[in-house]
Amino acid sequence: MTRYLLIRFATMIFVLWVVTVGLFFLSHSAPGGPIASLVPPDQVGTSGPLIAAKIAEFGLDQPLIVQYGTWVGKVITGDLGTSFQFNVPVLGLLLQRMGPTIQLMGLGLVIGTIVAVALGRFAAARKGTAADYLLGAGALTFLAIPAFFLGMLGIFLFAAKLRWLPSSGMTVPGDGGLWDHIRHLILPVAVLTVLQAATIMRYVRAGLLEELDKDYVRTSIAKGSTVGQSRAKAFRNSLIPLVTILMMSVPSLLSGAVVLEAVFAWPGMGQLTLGAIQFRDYPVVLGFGLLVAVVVVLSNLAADLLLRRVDPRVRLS
Amino acid sequence: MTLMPDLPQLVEDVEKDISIADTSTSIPAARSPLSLSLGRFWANIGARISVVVLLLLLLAVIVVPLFLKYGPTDQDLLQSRKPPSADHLLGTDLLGQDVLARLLSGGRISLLVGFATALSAMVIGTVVGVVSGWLKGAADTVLMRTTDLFMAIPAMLVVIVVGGIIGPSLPLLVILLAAFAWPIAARIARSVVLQVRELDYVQAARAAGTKSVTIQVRHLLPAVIPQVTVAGSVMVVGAILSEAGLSYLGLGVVPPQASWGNMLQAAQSFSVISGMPWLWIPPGVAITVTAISVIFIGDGLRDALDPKSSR
Repeated sequence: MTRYLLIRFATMIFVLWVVTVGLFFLSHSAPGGPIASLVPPDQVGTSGPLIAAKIAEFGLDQPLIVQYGTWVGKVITGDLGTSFQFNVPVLGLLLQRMGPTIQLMGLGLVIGTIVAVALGRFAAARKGTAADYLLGAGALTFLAIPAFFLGMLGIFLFAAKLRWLPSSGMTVPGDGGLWDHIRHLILPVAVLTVLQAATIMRYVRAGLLEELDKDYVRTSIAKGSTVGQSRAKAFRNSLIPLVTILMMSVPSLLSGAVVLEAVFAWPGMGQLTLGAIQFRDYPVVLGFGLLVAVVVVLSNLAADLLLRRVDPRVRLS
Repeated sequence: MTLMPDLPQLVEDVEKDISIADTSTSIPAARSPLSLSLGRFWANIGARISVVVLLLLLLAVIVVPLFLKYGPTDQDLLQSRKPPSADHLLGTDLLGQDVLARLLSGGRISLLVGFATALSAMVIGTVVGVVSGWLKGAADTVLMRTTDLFMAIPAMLVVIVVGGIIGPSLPLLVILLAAFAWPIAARIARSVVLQVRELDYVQAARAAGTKSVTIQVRHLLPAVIPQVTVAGSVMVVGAILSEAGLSYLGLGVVPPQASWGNMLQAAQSFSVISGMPWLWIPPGVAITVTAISVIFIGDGLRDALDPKSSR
């Protein structure tokens, strides 16, 4: 176990290292460079001292390797640098925008999974019927619809035509109550829920069917349990592989959230990063990249460890 | 982009219950395994309809633009955001460009990105996977750890950052998407090779002194290609949805070049969504229909290639 954890940990660090190197050198090989966006175009000719001051301020006159070393050294201590754009620490900026994104992702993950388990169980119990086939085809269809198109359809129907829900933002200025916040959450969370449910449902169904086929279910029925009781046992066991699949779905939920933030003008990390890309605000882009890499690596690790926890037969090697 | 996380599961599925017909035992039936598979595929109604839809789409994006009055970038600012009419069958956008012409031009891009990405990823992945599975040992370890690494890196993020920083371009988009798709094909190809290489016909070829390269091309590749093709269909969908998503964020294909994603981006405002459906419904439906068709074709292929499958 200790050995496994050590290897796992080393792999994690290696992946993170590759991600940081890749992101850092790419962002610095960009045309124009970070300075291009700091000085207004009409002043470039006359602002030599200004440019030089800015370059020195952000340490851009150092060799790339040195800049990378400085950056990584600071990152390890939690200092992600200063945003070119807002002139405030990147970490604080990201943390501040993280809340809204986590709200979207968390609600989508939880509600989507509950829906997926319910529908998957329903479909498995009716294997081969029209209802099962319709659910399967429905899930495939929702996997084919881009999240942003689904979001636009939602805005068209519920915001424009029915006028039930707001189309963008997180609160109405001047309101800001809990109910107002929930109303703004409904549409983006609904889209994420549909996507998550469509992805997970098929695994739930397949997992349950595989489990129902096993000998212990037949034995249990033969020994006098009702079909319902035996199914309940199979159902519990079929949820084990789901742990891994759920953890693996976190990165895709995150990229879904980034896109949906653009659709619904939701003030989360995705919106922050897209703005930073347009501004060539590299520290923010790098900080976001690093954060996502950490989230992904941790969710992979969590998947492995949780699986071992719920299923002692799984040996980590 | 929502499809990408499905790929690791797909690898697992294939690795778990791959079933390769052992062609070393002579089959008295006249029909070859390929013809049997094609028969099974064609019996699948969903797959059959999807093939027809996809062919019609291909035909439309290639042929129809030749007969249109307007090109995809012909602007007429006096005809801004006009609803569909006899002159402009799907109306015009903000710059007075014909929406139908842009829809078809964007379709070329989407299909090009989808198939170019999947094809390059399949070729690279197959070569790596076959070599890795055939050689085993240190080379195998190095190659497989590399695929692990690529599969652990969040592709969407890298594409967003790289596309945002280097500036959006079509070849870059295909290269990046393919760079994160090939490991899937490599894993699948390798797992097939690991099983096939122990079969009698391959052992016989080895015993007869056939060259390594010949064995890989003549005996291993035919077993690998069908399985990789199934994964390829998922890659096509993933690439099409990724291109649309990135273009929607302004990081993929950028105007004046039309793409389904950037047409939707241009229609993002509330007034357009509520009042000018001709600007955003057609590209959205086009992406969805294309993706569904490819998904159903892939599903049909998987069922057709698996002799044990029963629905």
